[in-house]
Amino acid sequence: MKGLITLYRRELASLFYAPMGWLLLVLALLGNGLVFWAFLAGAQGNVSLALASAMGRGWFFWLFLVFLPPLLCMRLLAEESRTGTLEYLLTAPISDGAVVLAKFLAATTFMVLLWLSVPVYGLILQANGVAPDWGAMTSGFLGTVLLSGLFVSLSMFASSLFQAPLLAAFFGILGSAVWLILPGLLDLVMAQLRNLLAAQIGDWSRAEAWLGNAIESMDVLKHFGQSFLPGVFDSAELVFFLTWTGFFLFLAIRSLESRRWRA
Amino acid sequence: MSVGYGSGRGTRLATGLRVLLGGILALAVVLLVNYLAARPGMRVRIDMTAKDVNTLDPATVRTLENLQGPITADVFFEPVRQPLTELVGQVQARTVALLDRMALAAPDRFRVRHNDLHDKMATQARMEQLRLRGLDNVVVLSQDGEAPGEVLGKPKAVRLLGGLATIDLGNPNPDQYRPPLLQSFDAEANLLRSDQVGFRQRPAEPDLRAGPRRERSLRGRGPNRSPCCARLCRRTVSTWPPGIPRRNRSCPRIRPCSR
Repeated sequence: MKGLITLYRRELASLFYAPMGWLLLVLALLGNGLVFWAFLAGAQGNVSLALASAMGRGWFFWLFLVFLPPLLCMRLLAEESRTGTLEYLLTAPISDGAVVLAKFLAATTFMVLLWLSVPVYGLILQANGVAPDWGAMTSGFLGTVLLSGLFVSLSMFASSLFQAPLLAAFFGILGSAVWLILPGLLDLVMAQLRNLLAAQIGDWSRAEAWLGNAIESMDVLKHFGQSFLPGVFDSAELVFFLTWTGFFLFLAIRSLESRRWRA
Repeated sequence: MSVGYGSGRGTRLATGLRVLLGGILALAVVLLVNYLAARPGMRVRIDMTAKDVNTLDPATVRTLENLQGPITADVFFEPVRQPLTELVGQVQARTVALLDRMALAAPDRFRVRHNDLHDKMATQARMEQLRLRGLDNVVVLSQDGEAPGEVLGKPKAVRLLGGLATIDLGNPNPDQYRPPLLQSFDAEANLLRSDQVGFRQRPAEPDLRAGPRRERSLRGRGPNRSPCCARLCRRTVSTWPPGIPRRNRSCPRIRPCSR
């Protein structure tokens, strides 16, 4: 545990020592602020809608989630692997799980710092006489943290697979984007398959419905949009985000371990 | 080639297989835990908004719990032209959120089907199942049959504008400009109107234990027999649509009252 905390501090500090971290933070905060301002103007004074837009209802939010975690995480494992410093870490008296967990927590903390700007917007609005719904805000923020954790863990897994940081970032972005658009992608594929194979296969509506349900159960947009975003704490959605985050971290740990027997 | 721990290659293969198996097991655990967490008994939902905007009215919950059979709400929404695009989009989002909440409240009795109007073939097929034509921004309520996609009875289409919400179109004239505004959103009440298809309540069992002479049997004989079982039966099924023989469905084995 002590090793985990020490490593977490080191990783978090390293994110801020590097210019890349600051660059990402400044760009993201600038973009988020501009988008929030645009939403506030567009929502005709509906503060809750504008805040929700900055935290999940707007496309910019998802753009952040697809691009930022892979760019952050490409350094954490892939670059350390390329420069050889990962070998020192793996031979240190600390488990592989602790190494991955510390890096994951550091990257998630960075993302949380970024999203903390939205409650600050709420405070500014309240100071100007328009109080937002803090319950909905808390729920949305919790969901955003969980979402960030999920995408960070996915990016960590991608980072653990490659030694080239750019390759890790590319596959992290690809994985995140595919997961986000999975239901839409499935609809598209199904519509094409229905046209092509209807004559050969006949009625396959049951199989299609089953596959649709399976993909729908992994729909991050739906899970977030039906619970945390509108202001509902849902235990099933909490479990969804935590278990999938745990799953990708588990894969990242196994991937790190595999370096030993692949070497 | 033997797979074992003796050679370097075999060891790597065995370890690789172990890793693969571990991954598959972890995935199975994730799916199982998610399945269990989504069961109605295990799920906890807390509305954290100040005005409880995500909470259904208790009357709505009661109605959903007493639905006779599974109901499907087919959503046929598409964007409208400016200047109503944003406003109607908000109304659509609120309606979809409401329908999803209703489906969560009664998952085995109320389903929501979001029809993608861009997928013309699928939309056409569904409209044929519903025996409806020319749907545009409506919610169609229908009672499900045994087979997938089978529809019982006549579905009811409820219009988004005028049926579920009322909007003021505003005034586009630059001198007297008034933006379009949402006047009322009564989707929860209007969707559950008793004349909508499927929102028939299950007839409540007549409570015969409350009287001074204790329990009375509807089917029994002797002094404990209800004196007017047919009338009681009629009273409990007063929400049934006219034209259906009442006794055939609700009171199959109850003798009518003697004249």
